[in-house]
Amino acid sequence: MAATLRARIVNAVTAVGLRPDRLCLLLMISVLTACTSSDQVEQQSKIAASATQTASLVLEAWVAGAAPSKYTSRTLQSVGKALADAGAQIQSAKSPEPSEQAGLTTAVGQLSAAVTRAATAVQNGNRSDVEHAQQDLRAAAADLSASYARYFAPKS
Amino acid sequence: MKKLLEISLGVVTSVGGFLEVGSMATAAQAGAAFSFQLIWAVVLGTICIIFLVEMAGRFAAVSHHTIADGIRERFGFNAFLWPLLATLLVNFLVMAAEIGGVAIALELATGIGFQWWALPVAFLAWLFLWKGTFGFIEKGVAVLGLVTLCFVVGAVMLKPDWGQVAAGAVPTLPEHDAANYWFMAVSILGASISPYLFMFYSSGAIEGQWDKSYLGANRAIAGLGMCFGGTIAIGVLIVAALVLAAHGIEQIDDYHQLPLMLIPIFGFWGFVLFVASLGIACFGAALEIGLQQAYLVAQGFGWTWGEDLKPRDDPGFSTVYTISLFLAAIPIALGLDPLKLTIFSMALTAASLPLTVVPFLFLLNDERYVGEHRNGLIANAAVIFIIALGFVLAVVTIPLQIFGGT
Repeated sequence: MAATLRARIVNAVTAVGLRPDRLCLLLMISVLTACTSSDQVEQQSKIAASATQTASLVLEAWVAGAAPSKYTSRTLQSVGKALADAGAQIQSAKSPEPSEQAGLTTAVGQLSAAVTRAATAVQNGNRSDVEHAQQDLRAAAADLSASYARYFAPKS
Repeated sequence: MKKLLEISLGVVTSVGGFLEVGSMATAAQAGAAFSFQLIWAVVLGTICIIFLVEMAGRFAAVSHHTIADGIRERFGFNAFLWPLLATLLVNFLVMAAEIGGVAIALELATGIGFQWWALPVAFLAWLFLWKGTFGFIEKGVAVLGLVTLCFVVGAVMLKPDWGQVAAGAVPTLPEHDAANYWFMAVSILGASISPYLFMFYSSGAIEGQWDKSYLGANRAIAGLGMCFGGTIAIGVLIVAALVLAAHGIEQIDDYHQLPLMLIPIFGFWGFVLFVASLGIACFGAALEIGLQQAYLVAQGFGWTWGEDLKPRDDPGFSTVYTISLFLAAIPIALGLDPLKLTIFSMALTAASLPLTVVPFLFLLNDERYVGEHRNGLIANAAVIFIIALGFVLAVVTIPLQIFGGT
């Protein structure tokens, strides 16, 4: 029975001009592509959250005098780049929830802007600007968390 | 007393060999992403490398052959060519990652981009190999490498739940990100069971003119030294879990995140200790791999070799480490991300294991080489297990790299 079914599938596939091995490859690519849009948003949101916490921790260390300015500044630049990449990838994902996706993109953009302000403040050695940037970062992180919860909330 | 001193130095040296950019990066990533859940991979890798290092030392002490020598002589040059090429390629990538590790440490210390440091680091390493002796390189860098104990001190200061730490030594299935979990496990095993480590060890035994009287010392050095190295790697993992993961940093995609492991514990000194640990451990590893490349080629082609000889007395040997070091610096000088290269090269190391471990089964059971000191039941069971593990790793590494790699 199974052998007959297999033979029929092979015949049908061959009839439309596709070899079974090529079909397997196409199926694999389709499955992977289907997985990527939702996974991509989740993965990039996690990267953004992790990058935000990195920025937060390095700024705390700088304020406490435990991290040198050059290191802090470079770390913030790297975090800013990671956030920009994550934002671009979230925006480009083909999501079934465009409004929630836009919310996530906006939250990541706000994080990126806060990190850029923090990097400039560290470069200038301006402690009060750094503290303002830390507050902005916390607010943007809360927005990201809320947007993430909305994006992945069960839909009725 | 002299033997005790030799064992102590051997243990310290083993730490220098064990802990490098690969074990640091993979342990940190594993701790941040999966807390203590991947400690078992470090433990398993450490047990495997203890067996392989002990066998490599025993083989050298009894037969007065290095492992590479033995493979070429026992199986012929054609059979030796495949492990030679695989090991040279993997070593090349690992050496580039180590140069990258030193370059990152220098970037962290100075603020000057890591790519600018790649060639000066390669030059400094070359100068050490050109001018230095085996003892100076092996012991000098290894003693400085003790700074990496700061991770163990940090882990103890953080007061982890030791019950949970012990539970992490038992393999468990992942609760999330299965592909990434298994990829991290493979990378940790690749970082722990490095072919360069046991091949270098057997060359070192020949350089140190070991004979049968060293068999006890060999066992102690292999066991204690690798356990010591494994403990430091577990220290890195615990610190990453309790500092990075606790602060919500679960993804380590950037080497700038790594010093943050020690800063909350030691303050500014945490930053200094991290930079020193990374720089010294990676520089030591770069020297050892540079030498290992030269050992491999010289032993493979039957050239004169020895780090204690003047370069003019072993020109082929010196040329190989010179070329290897400068070629390995190029990817980093061109701006290739050292962290990504490290994780990739650790996975590739795991995939190449069967080629370098299978010969152990034959060499360590061949009475013409090891006589009465051939493998017993436990040692053979361990080699067969490592070979099986090596084959599994070789098959799963590339798919995991695609689906779970960072």
